[in-house]
Parts: sequence; C-alpha cells; structure tokens
Amino acid sequence: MIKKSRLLLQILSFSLTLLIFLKIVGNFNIIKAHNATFVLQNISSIPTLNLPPYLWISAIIIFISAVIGRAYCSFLCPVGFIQDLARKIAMKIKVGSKMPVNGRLYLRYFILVLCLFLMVFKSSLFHYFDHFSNLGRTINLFIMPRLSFSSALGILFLLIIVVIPIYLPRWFCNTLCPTGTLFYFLSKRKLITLKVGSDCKTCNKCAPECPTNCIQGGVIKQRLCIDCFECIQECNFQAVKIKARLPFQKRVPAALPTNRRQLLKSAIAAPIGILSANALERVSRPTINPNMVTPPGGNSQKQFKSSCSACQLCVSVCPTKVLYTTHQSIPKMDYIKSYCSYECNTCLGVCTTGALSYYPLEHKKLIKMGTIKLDEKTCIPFVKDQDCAACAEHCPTGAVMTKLNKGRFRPVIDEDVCIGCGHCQHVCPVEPVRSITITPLDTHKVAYAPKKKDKKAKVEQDVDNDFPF
Amino acid sequence: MMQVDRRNFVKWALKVFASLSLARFLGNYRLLHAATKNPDLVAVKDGSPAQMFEIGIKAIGGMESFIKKGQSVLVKPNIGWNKSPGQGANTNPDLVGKIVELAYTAGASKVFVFDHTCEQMNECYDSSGIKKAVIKNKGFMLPGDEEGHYKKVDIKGAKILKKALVHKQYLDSDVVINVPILKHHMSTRMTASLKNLMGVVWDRRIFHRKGLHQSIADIALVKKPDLTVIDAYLIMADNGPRGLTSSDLKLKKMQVISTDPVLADTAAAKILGQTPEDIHYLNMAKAHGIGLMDLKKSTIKKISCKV
Repeated sequence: MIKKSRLLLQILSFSLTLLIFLKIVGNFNIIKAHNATFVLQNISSIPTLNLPPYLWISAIIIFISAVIGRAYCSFLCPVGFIQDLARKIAMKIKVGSKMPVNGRLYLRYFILVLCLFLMVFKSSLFHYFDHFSNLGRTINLFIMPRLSFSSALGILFLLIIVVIPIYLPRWFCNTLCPTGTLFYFLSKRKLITLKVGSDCKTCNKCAPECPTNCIQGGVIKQRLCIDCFECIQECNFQAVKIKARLPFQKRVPAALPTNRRQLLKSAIAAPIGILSANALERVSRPTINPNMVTPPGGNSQKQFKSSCSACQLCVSVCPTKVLYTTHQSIPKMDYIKSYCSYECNTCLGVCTTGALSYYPLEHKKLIKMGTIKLDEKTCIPFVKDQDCAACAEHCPTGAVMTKLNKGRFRPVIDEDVCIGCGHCQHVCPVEPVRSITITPLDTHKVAYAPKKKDKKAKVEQDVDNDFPF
Repeated sequence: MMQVDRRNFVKWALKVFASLSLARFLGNYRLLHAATKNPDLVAVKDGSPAQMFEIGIKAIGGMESFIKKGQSVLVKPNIGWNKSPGQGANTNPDLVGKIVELAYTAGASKVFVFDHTCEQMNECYDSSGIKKAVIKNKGFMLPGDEEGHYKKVDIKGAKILKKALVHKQYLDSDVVINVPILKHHMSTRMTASLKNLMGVVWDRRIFHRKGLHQSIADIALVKKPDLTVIDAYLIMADNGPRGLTSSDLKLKKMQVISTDPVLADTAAAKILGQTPEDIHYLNMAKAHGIGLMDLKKSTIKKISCKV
C-alpha cells in the first residue's frame, strides 16, 4: 500500500517536472505550484525580497518535514525517484552491492551551511549543489544538447544519480543535497519515529528494499532514514513500528562549552568563520558583463545574476531559443541566433527563484532591455543605395521605421519605443557585424508604447468602397 | 388531401424527373459556357473572405479547371507573424480553410500548407488560426523552419539571384495556390502575391543584401503559381508588413483572384492606394515575362456579394 502510493506520487511528480520542461504543461499556476515544492529555491528568494507565488506550499513541506520527517525526499522528490529507479533496476538485473554501507556524512553539513551563507549574501551559487538546478541542467542536456560548462555539470549529475545509486543508494540525498540535509535537521525532533521492536528476528528482509539502506540487522540509522515507511510493510513479524511522541516535551538543553579546550576551539573557530564568510561574500558578488542582455523581468543584471539558480527551465521553454546558457550556466540572450518574441512572456512565468519577476504580457511588452543603435556606415540603403529595411519590417514597436529619403526607403530609429528585443539585429543582412544592434541596458527601463496615428479604435469600412480599376 | 393512387404517383414522379433533368442540363450548359471565356482577373467585394472565394472561383472557371483528380496541391498563405487574425498581418484563416476544402472537393489527393515564417513557426501557425483551419479541413501543415526542408535550385533567366534554397513541397506540388494578404510594406511599398513567394525561400537575408526588388522578381521564375488569391478583406494600409496599431488597418472587404500574379498585384496595388509603376519588383517581373501589368487590356470580372 505505502509502496504503491509512494511509487505513484514519485512518478506523478517526476513526470510533471518533465512535462513542464518539455513545454507540454504550460499553465502558470501549475508551474508555479510545482516550483514551490523545491524548497531551497524558494528560501533563496527571501533575502532578495523577490518572492515567488505559492510560497505556502514550501511552508507546508517544511512543516511536514518537521512533523513526520523527510516525506518530501521519499514521496515527491523527482531526483530521489530517478535514484530509486536506478537502484531497483540494478537489483533486478543483479548488479551493484546488495548490502552497501553509507559512509561519512560530514560533507552534507558543510554544504548546507555554505548554501545558507550564500543565500544570506544574495548569491545564487548554491545552485551547484541544489537538486532542482542540477536536475534542470540534466534535462536541458537532452532538450538542447550543446557543449558548455553547464552541460558538463548536467552529465556529472546524471552519473551521480544513475550510476552511484547502484552501489550506494541515495548517496546524493544523504551526502550532498542541501535540501535533504535541511529536512534532516528539521526532522530531528519529529513526532513520528520508526522503531524496531524486540520481535525482530534480524532476517534482513527489509534491508535490500530500503531506498537508503538505513535499516540493517534490526537497527535503523536515523540520520540516513528518509521516512518512506516501506520497512513496516516489508517486515513479516510486524517488528517495525511507528512510535509517536507528544509535542512540547521537555528536552535537555545543549551544554555550553565549559572546559578550557572547548572554549579555545570556539575562540579559534569564530574568527575563521567570519573571515571565510567575508571571502564567500566576495566570491558570490556577480560579475557585470556590459555586453550581456538581461532577460525580460530580470530588472538589472546584478539582481538577475544574484538570484538566478541556473535551473535552465527558462532556457528549455523559450520558444525562440534566444535564451542560452553561459559558462556560469546563467542564461543570456543571443541576438545573432534568435530574438526575443514580442508576444511572449513564457520565461517570466516559469522562474523558480524570482530572478525573472512575473509581468503580464502587456507590461512585458514595455520592458526595455536594451536600446537600438544604427551604423549608417555599413547599412545597405545608405551604402549601396538599395531598398532593404529588413529591420523596419520586423520591428514590433516601430522603433525602426523607414523614411523616403532621396528616392530610397532608409531606416530611421526611435530609441523611446525600442524595447531591445533584438529582432532587427537578428534579421539585419549585413555581415559579419550587423548594422543595427542592441546596446544592453544595465538596469531595465520602461519604454514608451508604440505610437498610434489616431485614436480610432475600431476599424471601419470606407463609405465609398468600389474597385479603383 | 390528395389521394395517392397509381396514376397520381406516376404523374408526380414524371414531373420531378423532368424538372431535375432540366435543371441538370441547364447547370451543365452554364458551366460549359463559362469555361470557354474565363476572365483574366476576378475582383469580388462585400462578402466574407470564404464566401467571396467561393463566388470568385466559380467566375474564373471553378476549382476543377485548376486541379485534376489525384494531384497534390500546395496552398501558400502569408503566416509571417505571431498575430491574431484580427490584426491583419496574416492571411484570413477562414479563406485558407475554404481553399483547402474546395481543393479536396475538386479531387486533390493531398493539400499542403506551409510558410517560412518571420517569427517563430509554431507561434505563428497557432496564433494566426491557420493551423486550426487547415487541420479542420484535413489539410497538412508542413514545417518550414529548418534548412533541411529546402532544396538548392538554379533559377534560369534570373538577373542576380541565380541560386536559391527553395522549399521542397513548393517544387514537388502539382498545383500551387498563392494566398497572400494585401499589406503595405516599408521598403517595397506593397506586399502581396510576388512578395509572398519570399516565404518559400530559406535564406532571405541574401535578398536584402543583393537587391530586394530584383530578387523578388527572380524568385518568381522558379515556378509560377497556378492561382493567386489576394485577401484584401482587412488590409494593412500603413506601417506594414507587421503593423503597429489598429489604426494601420482598413476594412476593404475585397478579394482579387487571378492566374497572373503580376496582374493580381497590379490590381492589389490600386486597392492599397499605390501606383503600380512605383513598385519596382512588378516592373522587373513584367520584364521577366511572368505577367502583365495592363489592367485596361485584360478582361476583368467585378462581382459584388451585396444583395
């Protein structure tokens, strides 16, 4: 019963993530609710005060983990599902170790603290460890294969979640994953605990079925357990039982350091911590690239770079493929390859961390990401005296128009209405350097709306409507 | 109440038979008569786009005179922009749907529709409503957004565009029906049937580099469309071909149908309010011998759908 419902939930959760990446599910509310289940991504938006909707779903998941344990890891996590699947297939075809021993887990405490520190410094570098960012990079690898640092990380993560579980089940969850560690800490005083009673015959029937291999010889290693409750179903003697605890029970407070050795240790640790935090702050400061166009909704390059968790979801769903991955695996716009579609705000609606704030389509159409620049020294109508105006044809706002000048239609630019979508740069036939280019704005502005000739809203038929021939 | 006896029944049946055969004879006679004298150009007005096409195609000889049984048909509308039908940037979807439907009734084996769109293909196909209309009428929407769909051809008689990558279906189809929408164009003054043929070519930036007008005239040499239907129901009179606001649009409720793309464009230019001689690519296409520009010398049939 538990086994089947767990499998069903895992499959649903994983396929939802996959369908969102493949653009099959496009509903704004479904996507945002799905994103809210990735708790660390949502926590990271708190210091930047750029909160995504459905934060209450994250709150519920945190509450559940505090009450009944790491249920998210065992029932919902798509990364956990892949690892369980890899492990199960390996057991079926009889490869891998049957009784693995998970080793030291100190690394995960370090990673969690590091990630939380980075978040406090408004840095998104935690994405190198976060399971959703890594999963996104791996899925994106299959959607848009290309050679980059981001896809290398994707391959590495794929190996971690497919190959390692054959030998060490859920190694990622209990060694690296900051979300898993966070839930482990939260669930330390949970109300429901699994206990092996005296009925246990140490038959070890439950051991190979346990997704983390935390139960062996009638002993549950609580620091590994992800609270999937499968061992209850597995046991023939009903030896594994749920033990409930009342809330607000008295606990023994942790002792303060009293002896000299401990005091000395803390005295040394404190300045090291402060110094390393300082260093961390410097590392996490985003580098500003003046040639980079920040995607719409990013507001400014600094804000965008410091909150983007590089999950590649916007890159995957972008219809024109103008978004692509840079070396730090943070998306960038490439106007030579494509352009930003005027009638689209897909990327704004999918962002997990609020790096791209959501704006309705009418507002997004006025976000000025860059400004237009025309080089008359290379532009075809000025140089060759031919008609061209490919830029004016494609401009959605009228920032480039043509004017009849000495018998030719020559482009005229208007920076006020330009939104920097890059369509003109994309279609400009001049090579290798385009005549018309977009200069990125460091901080986005609001452009003027396209000018209307007259205020006539309705299109009416002429009174005298006869053929002119 | 009439009594139904044998005599009455026979009389009645004979009357019905006689009237039916008479109607059939008359109908056939009319069709035969029309087929002998097809006008060069049919101009229809004051109806819905689909209705105007139904009436107009009969006046130019019927769909059967263009499509033989079992032939494959390509309908090439203008689906350049990610805009809805009311924004006047793409061909009317009802018109495209009607043409697909009538092509099947005329005996076409398969009807294909595609365009090399200016914006992202799927967005344009969806928001223009054309994909829905074509699939509803059992037509086939073909992609045109990858270089692999195109084939290199030599253009005989071309002045500057001697080689071009042209969509395979455009070359393979037995019958091509060009269905542009009439719009203003910022550099060529007008886009209609000849300009719409830019949508069968892969690299269009080369057009702009080499000379836009001559390239448009040259590409029409690859294959002359068998039928040109210019949708001038909702035309874009200014800021074309994309259009900025609704003030660029004009409701004309017209349609031009012709076998001669240059003649159709000449008539369309007049509807748009342009001088046809100012549109350079029309003169160049005429010099190539693709069609005529003289509206006075050609036979024109004008139809009004208003009762």
